[in-house]
Amino acid sequence: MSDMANPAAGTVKEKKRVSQARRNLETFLANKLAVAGGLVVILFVAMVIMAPLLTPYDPALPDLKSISQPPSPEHIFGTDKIGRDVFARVLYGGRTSIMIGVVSSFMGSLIGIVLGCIGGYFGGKIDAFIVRMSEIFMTFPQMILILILTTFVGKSVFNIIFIFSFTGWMTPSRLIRGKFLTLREETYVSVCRAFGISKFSIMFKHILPNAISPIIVAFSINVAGYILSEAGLSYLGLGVAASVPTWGNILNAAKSVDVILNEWWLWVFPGVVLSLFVLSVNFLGDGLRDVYDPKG
Amino acid sequence: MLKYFVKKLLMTIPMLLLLSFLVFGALEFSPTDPVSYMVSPDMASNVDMDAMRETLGLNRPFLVRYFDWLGNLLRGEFGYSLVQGVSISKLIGRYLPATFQLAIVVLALSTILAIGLGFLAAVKQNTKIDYICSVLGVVGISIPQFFLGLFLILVFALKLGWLPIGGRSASTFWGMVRNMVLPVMTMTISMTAALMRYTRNSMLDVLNKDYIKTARSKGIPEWKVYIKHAFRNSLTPILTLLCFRLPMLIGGSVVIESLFGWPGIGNLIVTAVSSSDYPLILITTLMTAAVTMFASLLVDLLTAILDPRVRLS
Amino acid sequence: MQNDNILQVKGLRTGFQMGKRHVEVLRGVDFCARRQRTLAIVGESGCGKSVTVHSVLQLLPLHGHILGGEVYYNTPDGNSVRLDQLERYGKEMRAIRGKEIGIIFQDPMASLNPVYTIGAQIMENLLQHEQITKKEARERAIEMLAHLGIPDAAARVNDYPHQFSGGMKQRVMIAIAMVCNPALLIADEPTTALDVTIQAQIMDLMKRLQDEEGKSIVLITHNMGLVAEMANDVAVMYMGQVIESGTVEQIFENPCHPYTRALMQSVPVLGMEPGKRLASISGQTPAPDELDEGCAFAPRCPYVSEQCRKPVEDCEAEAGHTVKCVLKGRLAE
Repeated sequence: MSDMANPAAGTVKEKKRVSQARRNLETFLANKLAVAGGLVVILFVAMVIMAPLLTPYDPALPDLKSISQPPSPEHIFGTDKIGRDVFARVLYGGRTSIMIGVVSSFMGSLIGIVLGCIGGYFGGKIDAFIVRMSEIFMTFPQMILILILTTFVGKSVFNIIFIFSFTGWMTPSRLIRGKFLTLREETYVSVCRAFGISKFSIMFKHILPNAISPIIVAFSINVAGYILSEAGLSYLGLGVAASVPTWGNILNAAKSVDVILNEWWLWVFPGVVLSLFVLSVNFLGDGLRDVYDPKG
Repeated sequence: MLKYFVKKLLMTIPMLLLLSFLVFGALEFSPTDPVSYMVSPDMASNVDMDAMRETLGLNRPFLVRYFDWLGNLLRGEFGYSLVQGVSISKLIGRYLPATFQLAIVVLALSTILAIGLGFLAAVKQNTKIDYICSVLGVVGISIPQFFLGLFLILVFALKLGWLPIGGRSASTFWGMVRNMVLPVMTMTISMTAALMRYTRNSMLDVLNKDYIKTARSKGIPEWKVYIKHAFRNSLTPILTLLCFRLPMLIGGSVVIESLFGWPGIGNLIVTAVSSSDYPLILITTLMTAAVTMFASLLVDLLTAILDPRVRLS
Repeated sequence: MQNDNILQVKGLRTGFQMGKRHVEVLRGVDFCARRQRTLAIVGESGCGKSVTVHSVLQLLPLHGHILGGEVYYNTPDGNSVRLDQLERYGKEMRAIRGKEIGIIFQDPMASLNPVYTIGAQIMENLLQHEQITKKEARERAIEMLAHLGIPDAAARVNDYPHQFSGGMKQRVMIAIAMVCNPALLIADEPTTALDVTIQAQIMDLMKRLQDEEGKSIVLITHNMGLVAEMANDVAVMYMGQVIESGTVEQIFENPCHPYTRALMQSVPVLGMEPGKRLASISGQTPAPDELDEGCAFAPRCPYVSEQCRKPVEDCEAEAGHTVKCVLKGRLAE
């Protein structure tokens, strides 16, 4: 069967290494949606960073002279109930939302990597314990865990990031552990051991770089997930404090029939921007999956 | 088989104990006076708090009180909600059926849809159908549930006026169905999107197995290869994934129930969280956790029935 | 009139779609399998042996395609069917698979469906091709298992694959392939995944099937010892082509292609001079997409000359012994 699956088996190996990066790039570029997603992500990130250049309005400043205005050349996304420019709020809100997604996913991955390394390298009881823990966390409704924690630690950007990282380490940890289980049997690891290199150094300097690629995919998927979770929580009024603009907090306006029907610009624009960004991150993640994890 | 099941059951118990312990610990640390939580409010106003503390045994050590509390839980005495002043078991009894009703319908619909579409995409691998399914799948998981819900409300309830905006009327069957359409649709779309890809991938995984080639080498028709050999074998991983998706269903119901004013546990949790009703939050949490754990136990049982390797070992 | 060749393959080309690239793995394979004889197809892993038989039965993975050539199957009653022209999973092809040609795969552990009893898996083949009741099919399955040396077959027919050892699983696989009494049995490295002692048992079993029941067998292997023991005819493959074919005596006593010769010298033989080193073939196999029109072995061949850069035709070294080499078998000793 091996002959069938890989007819190119036995190809010259040195050549493979040189062209690996090139081939990765080719695989990624072949996925048009991933390329489009990547461009949209870059565009959106650039826009929220350069928010002050793109809009003259202050997202927090009420303007009682222009309340609940529909979209117009001055306010392209319209204004909200206390006259704040929705476009400015979407731009500045994007800063917080994207930041929450990226930082939480990074921290979650970090926790997951450390736990996965430890479990995968040492095995035995430590490993069993970590796997058990991750199973408990995974079967437990994350949304509800987040809700409980917010009641105890309160509403703030920092708390949200803390909670997301705390509840999002399982997938990275499982991925790293799986890689470690196979990599630790490799010859080069025994060579390291024979040289008396410390366990810490073997784990993080010698094995980890070879096990990191699936994390890249999980990282991007998690960014998307966290942005969605934050939006959901803030929509319910349980996420970030209402004074901080985030995509979820902006959408929180759409809680009455009147707004849904008559002030549609208050929720349609931010919702579309949010969906488009998350969609792009997911497509980007798909492209990365093609490159790093062709089977999944 | 029985041994396997008992083993799984026994593994659930320490997990539940650990969780209940955490919940009890959280209750201890929460700014809640245990007396107000343990005694019905109408009674509490008339008695001496300190005497009450003594009779309730609140001055005893932490662990003793924990096992006491656990015993109460097992007898169905969940204590009282701080804000609503009603016993928690009564509240749960009132809200749980609505949640189950929604969850079961969504679970059934999305499983059928996801398996059907995932199966189709796998069989038609790398064709337009497969491509469309996978793009729609990503779109489905990228749109926030509440945004989708808002959109459906705008179109079907406000503009077209076909369906009610929210609520749950249990008076007539049709009324109930009309109320359910929008929340069910919203949740089903996200759930289906999330499950479809897994179904496709686990089908493809199985289709690459050698025994599929063996089946084909017998000259049986393709539909038999797909149904009898491929699908039957991909059921186990699909079931496992379904189990991992249950939390998502429950989490989703929190947002959706609140959006559509559906009187279920999710809505109860949101109310409890916004009013800092700690006992209510923690007990409902414990309950949801217990439910998901038993659901995963059920999945283990089904897996064992489906897979002779597990059944006979 | 019955054709003496049960299977004829002419100029078979098969390719795989790898992303955007198309890799041609078989570059014109020719061979004949004769009735009631065992043909061994030998070669290094990756040379296209498996792909050849998978192409014959149209069991290639989705991204694999037959690009050209002809595959003829001659039925015992004198009809000739062109297999490469049939629809992959169409009725005609399916009527041949399992019924006329049975196949055994390399890895018996992975080749049996874990969720069905072995009885059900053997019966499936019978019920597909013959108009019999389930009860009769079951009896035939038990009979077949007993015939193939599975003890207590009547009870074991209800067991699941995981309850069998590797060797027993391969017997079950043979039972699946043989239960409809096919005229041709293809065995794709049937013992590679098994222990040495089990290997011998399975091979004895296959030899018995050939000797006693006059089965035609195509055996794929990289084990020259097995070839010597089992085969009547041999086809040697290198890089997607059959580079030499003939009877087992011709190939072993007078290997004409430099590659075949090198292959023979790299195999340890019982009673070999102690201390003598086994020869190895220098260089590595080139990637299939790097080949030009010339001889694929040229870069590694000690006898290489300018002529080898051009396409090489088949020629007869002796009667029934073909070699694809410009030297036509006249190798300097």
